[in-house]
Amino acid sequence: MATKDSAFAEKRTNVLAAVGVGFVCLVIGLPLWWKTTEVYRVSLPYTDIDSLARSKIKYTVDINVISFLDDTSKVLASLSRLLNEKLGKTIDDSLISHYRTFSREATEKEKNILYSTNSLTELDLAMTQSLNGGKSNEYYFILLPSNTNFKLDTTTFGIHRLVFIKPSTSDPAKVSSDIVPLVKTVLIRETTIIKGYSTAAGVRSLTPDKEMLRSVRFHSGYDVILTLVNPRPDIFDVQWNIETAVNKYFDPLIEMMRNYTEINVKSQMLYFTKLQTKPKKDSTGFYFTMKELPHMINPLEAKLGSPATTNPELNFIVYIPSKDQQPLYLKDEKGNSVKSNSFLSPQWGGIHIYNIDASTNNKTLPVQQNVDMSQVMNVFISQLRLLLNIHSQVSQDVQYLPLGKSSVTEWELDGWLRSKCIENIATSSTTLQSLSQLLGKISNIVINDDIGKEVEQAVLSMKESLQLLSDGFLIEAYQHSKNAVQASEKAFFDPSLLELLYFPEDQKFAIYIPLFLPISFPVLASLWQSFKWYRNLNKPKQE
Amino acid sequence: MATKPAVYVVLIFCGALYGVLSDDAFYEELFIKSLEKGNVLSHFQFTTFWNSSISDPETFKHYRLFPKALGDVLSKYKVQELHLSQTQGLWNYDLWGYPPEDAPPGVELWVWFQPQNVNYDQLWAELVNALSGLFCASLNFMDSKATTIPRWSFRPAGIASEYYSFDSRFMRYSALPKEIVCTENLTPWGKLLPCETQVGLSTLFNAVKLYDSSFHSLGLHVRPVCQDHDCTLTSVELKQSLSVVFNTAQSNKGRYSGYQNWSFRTLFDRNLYDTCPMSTYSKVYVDTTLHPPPKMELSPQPDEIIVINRGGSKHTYGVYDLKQHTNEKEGFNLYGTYATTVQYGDVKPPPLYAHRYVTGYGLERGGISCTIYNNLDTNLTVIYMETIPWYLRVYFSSIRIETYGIAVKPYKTHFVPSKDRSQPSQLELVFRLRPNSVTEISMELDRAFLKWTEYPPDANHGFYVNSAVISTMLPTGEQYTALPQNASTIGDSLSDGSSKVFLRLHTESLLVSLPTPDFSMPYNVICLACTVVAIAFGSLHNLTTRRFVAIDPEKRRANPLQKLKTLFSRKKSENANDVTDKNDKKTDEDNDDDKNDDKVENEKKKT
Repeated sequence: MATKDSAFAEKRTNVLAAVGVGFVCLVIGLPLWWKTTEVYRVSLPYTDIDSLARSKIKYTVDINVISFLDDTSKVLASLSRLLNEKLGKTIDDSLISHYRTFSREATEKEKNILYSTNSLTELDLAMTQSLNGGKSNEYYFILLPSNTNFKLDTTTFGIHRLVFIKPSTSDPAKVSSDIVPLVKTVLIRETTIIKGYSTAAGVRSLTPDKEMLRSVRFHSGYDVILTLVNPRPDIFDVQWNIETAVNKYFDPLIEMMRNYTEINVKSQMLYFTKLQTKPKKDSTGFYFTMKELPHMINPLEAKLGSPATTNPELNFIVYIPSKDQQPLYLKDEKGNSVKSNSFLSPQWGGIHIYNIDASTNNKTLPVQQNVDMSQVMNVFISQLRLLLNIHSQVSQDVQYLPLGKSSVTEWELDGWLRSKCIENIATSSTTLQSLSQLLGKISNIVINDDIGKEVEQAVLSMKESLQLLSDGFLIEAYQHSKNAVQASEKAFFDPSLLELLYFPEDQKFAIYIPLFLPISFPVLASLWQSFKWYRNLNKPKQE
Repeated sequence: MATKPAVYVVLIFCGALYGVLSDDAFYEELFIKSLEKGNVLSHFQFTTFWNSSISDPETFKHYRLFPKALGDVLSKYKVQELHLSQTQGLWNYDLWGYPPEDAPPGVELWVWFQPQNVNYDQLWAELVNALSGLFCASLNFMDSKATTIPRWSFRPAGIASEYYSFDSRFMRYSALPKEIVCTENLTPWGKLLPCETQVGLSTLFNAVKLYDSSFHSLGLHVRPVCQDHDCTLTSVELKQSLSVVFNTAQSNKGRYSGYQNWSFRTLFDRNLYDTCPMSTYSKVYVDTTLHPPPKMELSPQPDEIIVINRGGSKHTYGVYDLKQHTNEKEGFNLYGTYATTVQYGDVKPPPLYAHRYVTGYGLERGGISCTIYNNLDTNLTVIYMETIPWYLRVYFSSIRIETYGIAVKPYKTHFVPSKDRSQPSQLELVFRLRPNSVTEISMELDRAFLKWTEYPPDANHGFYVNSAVISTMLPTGEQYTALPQNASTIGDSLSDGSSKVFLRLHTESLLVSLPTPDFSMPYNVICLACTVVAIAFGSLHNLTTRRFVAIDPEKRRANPLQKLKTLFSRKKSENANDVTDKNDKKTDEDNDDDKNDDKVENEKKKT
């Protein structure tokens, strides 16, 4: 018995030792190994990212109607209601447009202003001043009577945030149905907003949209580069007065956009850069057809570009044809020569062909020439407006007040901010979603604290921006959306994401197996034996 | 310390730099010099002036002749001066004299930044990355491990206040001796010229010929200079140079084999048809000092022959105005014809030159030695600069300067020890060379053992060490061809009458082999260590979880074969009646050590 007891005690000690070793290896060792070799990842707000991706974007616009017509107090109330009804329809499921409408009669002070001004431009300015300088996102439709000091033929958009209408009747239904399309297609450009949103959100459509293909995506800054290409400086010594031209044409635009995006304008001259395609010849001169235009850009592209900037570049090129190719024209599909003699390349820039007097007889070479900057700059400004998607190309029967010094009106800038804000929110959301999807798929990606912070920042800014946008604070919403898109891009493109990406799994196992295999066998086997022993121990007792 | 002022003469910039008053200007020049032993040096220099201040942010907006790609980089990183050289081959000072533009093999970059409130290391890191894209070179490897801040050797070359030029915080120096220079570097460099390589002197850049030469160096230097004599306004000077040395005595075939004859056609395989219309002038200078007319005849005859006295040494130049010669549109070809074949004999070495080499043996320790030859009969104060990568750990105490066995005490010493994986060691010494002497600088070092991931793919090739830089003020202009500091073009330098010339020369770069491991080693170590751990663990584990009992000696005598047999026969019988034993045997198979133990147990159960 004594030997049996001691054998039992010894066996029990052995079993306890096996269980102890097994406990240390499995309960402490394995989690410790797992924890120490784990890829470092800050926890990201995945639920917020998902909910933001699913949340609807709502923007609010204030539409006010000020009537200078007589006896409209009763009509105005129903006009307000009608406008609200007609504008309230939402077209897209993820975008909600919300219009707050308000109509009132003009005050005595405003009437005085109207009858003391002699032109619409003056009225535009004076009215804006009386309305506290005009708040962004707040538009006024001014119903004008026929007895003004100036003539108003058709609906006219001011350079601030006023629209002047001369209604034919005072019937609210007619007036409201006049105003609604103006708001939707010109002032707010709902289709552009929807297109911008769906492009940024990555919705694929079968037919690429021209407007979206043409305009550049949002960036915190753009580099505008004006280039004078002179293939034969030995014959034409062409100079341009670029400093004053940029001051005159670009600086007001840059000044207006300063708080929203940075536009750097630079210029350069390139010599002996020729086009590789030869133009065709006809009776009036040389010409390129639409098909050949892409081949013009490629040889020029090699000479542009800068290693010091990450901003997208918008190139505007003045090309001086050499003497043996003068005059050079562009022809459209129908074979008519293009009036502006220039063309636009989507998301890249524009080229203007500048023909100069080619008669070099009896002149000492090189012939001195100066570029007419107003001709060139007007082409480039309109191309820039198209590339930034500021310009609304609608064939509505409306007029615009002359732009004056600045190249962008205030309501156009509002529209740009609104569509870019929505585009940014969508971009930021898709970027974060891609990041979270990527992290789900590839387990080797490290997420360090900085990236975690950027993601938090992006989510926070997006929430803020969404809230501000739906409350109608456009500029603040835009600034937050800009922060969001910058933070999310920074997180997504952080180089540290790639650090462990190329460390393959099989190498890991090659390193672990020599240790894990020989240790795990005896541990598991002795545990199994202990378990057997324990079971055998219990059986006789039960019997 | 009596010679201390003399040192500063080298360093302090003399303020009489001036360009031209008018608008932007461009000059293209070619300098040809016949060297000894059949070599011909061609040095192209393209100088662009931009009459605008380099520190004014409004400057770099509207470009005319200045390249925008480079201007953008200069303005973004607020560069005051930038000096880049990309060289293939070693300049042979003993035979060729001094080069017009001194450069070490590989790439060298030194930059002075404008004073600003930034982290200059960060600024430098961003700048080298931008430049590496611009010049298609691996300049991005100029990280903190390869970058130093020399205190005396590299002073601003352009106008700078005295306060600024003595504050080396604003400057960074780095070199990559391993970098190989080829056409991919020539193309972006050529793109920066106003006429690119389409017209003018740059049409002579025939890559096939240029890279089939003994020495080839691309240079790019940006510095601020004075616009006029009073220096009220400054302008930006961009100097691009290309030096190439051909051995025509060897490459000439047929009737002229062995002659040093050269022409545009034989050198570049091209004639010159036009000049860049943007250039103010376009000239060729032929240095005939070494081989005057009866020895070498030029055809056509030079438009002008200029004789200058530079530092007490006479130099003769034949000048050609290319705007006159290329008007005919039939191609201009310049010949230098020799009456006799090349005479190989002793060549008179230049006044000061140096050689550097690795000393010691084995892979653990070693040393670097540099021998400096002073052939002048006067004392000469020099600044010696050495940058050594961190994996060669220099002993400061072992640095010796000796002239014929007599120790030379340096006037000034600046030594920054290396930091592993972050900073190279840097040494600058200012000392005096005796007349007609040979001075040797030597130091000892340890070769570090790198981490296995730090080795390059070709680890057994060895590791390069930067060239040492020697700067001095030479009292003679003998064999000197570089531009004086106050000149921008070669044309300017022809009126130079200074008595002293500033000389900077680079020694050979070194190739040092480090102890290189067997790269499969880490995995072997892992396997071995794991096996040892597994064996140790296995036996310990067995000791604690198994019972060991002495077995019957009778059984023990049975040979292993019989043992196995009994084992198998027993197994069969056990399979039939006892289930629990199976598991015991399973572990049997796994652990041979347990066999005896288990057997004992099994026997026990039977009994």
